[in-house]
Amino acid sequence: MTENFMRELSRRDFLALSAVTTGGLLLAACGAPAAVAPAGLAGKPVENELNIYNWSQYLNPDTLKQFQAAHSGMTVKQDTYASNEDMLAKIEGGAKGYDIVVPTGYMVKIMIEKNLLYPIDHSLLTNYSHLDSRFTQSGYDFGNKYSIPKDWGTTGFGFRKDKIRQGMTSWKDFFEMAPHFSGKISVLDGANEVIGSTLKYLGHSYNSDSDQELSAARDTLLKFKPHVGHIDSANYKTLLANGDLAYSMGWNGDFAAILALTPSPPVQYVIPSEGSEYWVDTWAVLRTAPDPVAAHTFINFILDPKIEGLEANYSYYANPESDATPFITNGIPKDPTVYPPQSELDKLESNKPTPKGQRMRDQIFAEFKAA
Amino acid sequence: MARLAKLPAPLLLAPAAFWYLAFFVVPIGFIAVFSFLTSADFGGISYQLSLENYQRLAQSSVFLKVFANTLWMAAGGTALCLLVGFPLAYFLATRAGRWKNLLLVMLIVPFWTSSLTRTYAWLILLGNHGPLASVLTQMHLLHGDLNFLYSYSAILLGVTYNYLPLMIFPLYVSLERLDKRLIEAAKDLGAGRWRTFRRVTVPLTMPGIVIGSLLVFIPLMGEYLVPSILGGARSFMIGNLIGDEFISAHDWAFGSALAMGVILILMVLITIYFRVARRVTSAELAL
Repeated sequence: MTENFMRELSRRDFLALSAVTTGGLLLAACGAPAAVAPAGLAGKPVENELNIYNWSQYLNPDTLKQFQAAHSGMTVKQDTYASNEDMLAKIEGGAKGYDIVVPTGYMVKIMIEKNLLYPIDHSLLTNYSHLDSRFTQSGYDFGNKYSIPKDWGTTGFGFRKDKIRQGMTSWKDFFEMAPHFSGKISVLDGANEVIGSTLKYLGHSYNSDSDQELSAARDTLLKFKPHVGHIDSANYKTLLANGDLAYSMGWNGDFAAILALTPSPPVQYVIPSEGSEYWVDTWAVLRTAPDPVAAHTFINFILDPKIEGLEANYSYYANPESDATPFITNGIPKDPTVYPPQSELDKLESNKPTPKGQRMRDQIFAEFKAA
Repeated sequence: MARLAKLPAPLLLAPAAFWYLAFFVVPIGFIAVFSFLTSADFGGISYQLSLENYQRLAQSSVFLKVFANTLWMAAGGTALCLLVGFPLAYFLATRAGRWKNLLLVMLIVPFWTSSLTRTYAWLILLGNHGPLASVLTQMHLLHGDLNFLYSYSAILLGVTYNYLPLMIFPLYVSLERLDKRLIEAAKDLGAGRWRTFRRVTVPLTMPGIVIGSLLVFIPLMGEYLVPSILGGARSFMIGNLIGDEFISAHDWAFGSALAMGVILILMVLITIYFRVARRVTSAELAL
């Protein structure tokens, strides 16, 4: 694989790396963070440091360069994580020094409930008005009090057109064609993605917490498991692009990035006809942030449509600002993988498990992995 | 050294004692305490005493299954290390001559690189598009995909490769110390090669075998990086399960109970292992 390919690849980090970085901090953690209501930030000086804790390859290096050019003297550091859960474990474990994190909508809600996020000071975000209005009314954080939408996408699957000539359109295909492609199938390493998809296949809600529906999902998954070759959120792109997989569950931007390779591999992304997940990733400031003004300055900088365009060109994920569209190149705004038509969007749900549903998902997923 | 020898024992023991207290006893204490508490929703611990985690553990078929999986991997890896390591250690101790030091250094050299990097290297070497596959295909020994990666064999290869030196060094030390005159004596008394090996060499190097196997087996029971890189979807080890409970499922209390369960079972297994090893050694020597 070329270096370029690796660069474009990952919203999610290497599994192994995440295991190394998170392994050490399990024990540091007890006690909740102090609940201090922060005062308004307007008029306070910008700190000269900024620490971003982000998914890997999820911030355009050019964006960083331009930001640093505009704020000379500021040191920006970035550290990466591989899943929302890894990030939460580390922050809850007492990791200090980070200013900005990038949680997905459902994780924003959890972090708000755990009192881990700094209320956004909207007076510092002069570019906020560029956001499309539907991104200011999300259920996980209505009015963006604690988080600012970064980009959005869908969870579905991609398949090799050269191996599956009849094509695939649904979760039904995903689960029922498995015996023909045993070992050449991969699913995401996430309880909610895997179990949510199974629930959709069975005709239930992505977020069901009914015992009966979840137990049916469990049975389906245990029957499906012998055919699963990989449970992985990072390497599936490479494996699919190489032809080592027949089909793979994943996030749309990853498949868009594969398709942008030259030559483009015969891969097609599918939003399954039964429906699937729609997610929004956000910028959020931590309550423990040592540099809250710099963090707001950075988020405001990103909200500039020109910069949002840079971001979309790098990550292949859809942007929450229509104003950014003129700055997005490579035909991305017209790519149905990145911007699905409204008819497909209507079938999607966002991930918002109940505590009970989450516990059951985690147990079923452990059983699935062990099978 | 002479000065060190005059230091009082407590002073000599202090650094290690502090180290073990801070980085072993205290963390294990946390785990032990957490295992009797309750997990809060979406992570964290709520300070509520409960035996529920152990009840779940006792009923958990997943735990038993994953533990058995891990035991199978660790036992296989240890056996393979012994099988590959013993002849090599024997050679080093008895026949290597002036090459001995060079060979010993060569055993260590790979460890100058991170084991993660070396394990990823196997992904490239053994992949369906890697050098091994292309050589075999060109020699017409392979038709279609190699399909070696992401299997139990791939995991065994990876762990044996990573842990072999831990086996070789204790074996080498005990073989080196072996009094060669005893082997000559056995031969003089009419024992064949195999009999000498079985009755003299093996019993006398038993301490090395016992320690080497333990040094490989114990960390293998906690190994989860190599299996998750080389093992695909069939690589779920007890270490992965505990890690997932802590990080993905955010169930620290149950994760702690799992960890305690592993520690307890391993303690029992290792006690049995030492007893058997001692009995075997003394029985062999008595004959």
